[in-house]
Amino acid sequence: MPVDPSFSPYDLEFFAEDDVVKIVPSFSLPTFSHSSIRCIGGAFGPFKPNIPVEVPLWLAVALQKRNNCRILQPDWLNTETLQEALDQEKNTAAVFHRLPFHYLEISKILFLHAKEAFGTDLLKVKELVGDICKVRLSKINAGLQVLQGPMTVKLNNLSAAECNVIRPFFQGALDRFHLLASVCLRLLP
Amino acid sequence: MAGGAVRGARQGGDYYSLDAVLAEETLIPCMFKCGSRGVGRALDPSSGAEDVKPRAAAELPLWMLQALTSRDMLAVKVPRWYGEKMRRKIQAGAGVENLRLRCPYFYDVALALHATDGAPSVADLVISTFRSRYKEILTKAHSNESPKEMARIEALLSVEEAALFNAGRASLDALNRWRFGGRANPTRTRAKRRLDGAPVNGSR
Amino acid sequence: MDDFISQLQSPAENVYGESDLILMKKAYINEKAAPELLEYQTDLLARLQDQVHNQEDTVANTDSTHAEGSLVRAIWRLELARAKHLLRAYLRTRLIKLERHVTAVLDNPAMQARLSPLELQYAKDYFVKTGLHLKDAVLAHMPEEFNSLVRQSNVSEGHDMLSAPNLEAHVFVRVLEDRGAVNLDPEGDDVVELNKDDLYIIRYEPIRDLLKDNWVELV
Repeated sequence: MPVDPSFSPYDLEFFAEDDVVKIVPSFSLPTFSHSSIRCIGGAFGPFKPNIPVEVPLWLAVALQKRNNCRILQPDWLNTETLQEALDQEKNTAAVFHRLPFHYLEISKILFLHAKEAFGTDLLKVKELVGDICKVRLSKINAGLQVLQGPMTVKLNNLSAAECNVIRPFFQGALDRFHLLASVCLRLLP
Repeated sequence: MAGGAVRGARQGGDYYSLDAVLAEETLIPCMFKCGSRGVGRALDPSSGAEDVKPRAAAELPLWMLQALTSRDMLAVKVPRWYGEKMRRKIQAGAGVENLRLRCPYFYDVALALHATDGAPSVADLVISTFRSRYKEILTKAHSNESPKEMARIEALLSVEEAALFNAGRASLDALNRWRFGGRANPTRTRAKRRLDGAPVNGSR
Repeated sequence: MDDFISQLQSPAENVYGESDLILMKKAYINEKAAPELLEYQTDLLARLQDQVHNQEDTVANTDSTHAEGSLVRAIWRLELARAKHLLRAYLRTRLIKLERHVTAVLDNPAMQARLSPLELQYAKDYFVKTGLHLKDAVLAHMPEEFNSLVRQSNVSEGHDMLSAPNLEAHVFVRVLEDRGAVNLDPEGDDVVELNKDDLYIIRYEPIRDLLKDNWVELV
């Protein structure tokens, strides 16, 4: 058996936590240089009360849990932009709208840890992300159905979770098509 | 490179793959071109004869064929599950055929037979079979059928197809469990449908 | 909208640049998604392990009796846990692949050169131990002509007892730099255009060298 190349959804969530979001800190670090935290991944900050700053998602969530910041709603994750994305997604059968590679993971984390960022829009935003995901998955499925043999398939703008969910089936089917076709070709007179 | 085709049957050249071993146990109808002494009972315990006569028919496991055909001792016949009748059924639409019943390792056995010298061509048949069944496997794997229906479908698939089918289901289940917090397991199909609005493939 | 996205799309291009942790993440994803063992990232691993040790020292030496120090220490600890998780995942993925393909790796000097010294030692130990186990469990009970693993392997057709990775497997690949037309088969009948940010599912073998030279990454 080959080694399984798939990631779990939780692996992808871990990867997504390196993406940056904007926060509004409620603290400062006067005894640290530049009021920043010098980490392996970079000098995150500067943290000054009420001055927005970009930090990785994992850090944002950790600070929010300690009530040290407020996470801001990302610009792509509001009702207007998502509605626009959903409409575009529905109107084009073969093209995928460009979303953050980890849009599902980021939105899931924010819906859980930064509900306040969405105010009264929370349910609507959640619903839109769900609808977008549903439309995209059904488009992916329709695209996969036309496969008739070994080929290279372009999947531009597919997200991490979408790639990962079709990986076992799609890879397996293409490997099988390729194997059957190459054996057939080799043995033709 | 003959090794390539054998490798196909052996799933990526994996000598230790259980499925590859089981596939090689498949019995293939053959005819002895020459007589063989003293092997009658070994090949068929119910046989009364010690020797195998020329032109005698026998069903031999796949792993034995290569060695015997390369010495020109054996003629391999097309197993009935790759025969004319099957070919016509495939052309009419292979979605409903029970491959598991006919030959559990429908594809891998075909590839191995193909690699065995003197075996008749079956590759084009299995390619069109896979082509015509692939879409159905995909659609069903990503549908919201009941566990009972899923089990019924799986029982119709060859082992190779079932592996794909189950891999497709497992990854979608994993995504849904992650998205909906572990409640969307297969025994709660209805709950899943309510949460998700509709089946993800949107086709029904 | 594309502006917002480009900020989020790739952490490499965000304000904090491409740290060794981000590089490690990419190395892990490549390793996990590639059918064969890739080259051990010697320099990257050494740098990151150094940084982890230094950071552990810093954590130990930081006064956490006041709120500020306690907050920063908690953040450092959290990042350290993430870094260690990533290092373990990378090393563990390599060991799984190594065990699966141990005979093919030991049989090939070019493959051996991709291992760290510790991994090579592990591979040899693993090979000896599984060999002994197979001998005890099976081979010792076989007639003399069949009781040698090496002899059986040498006479087996296509050397199928050396379990080699399947380079014909399909992988998900993202193009990092415009590369233009790439041949997918030796005859050049099948050509694909690789432009930056394209995402493909493609056979591994034709893009093997592109991956090594960082034209593409696996997803």
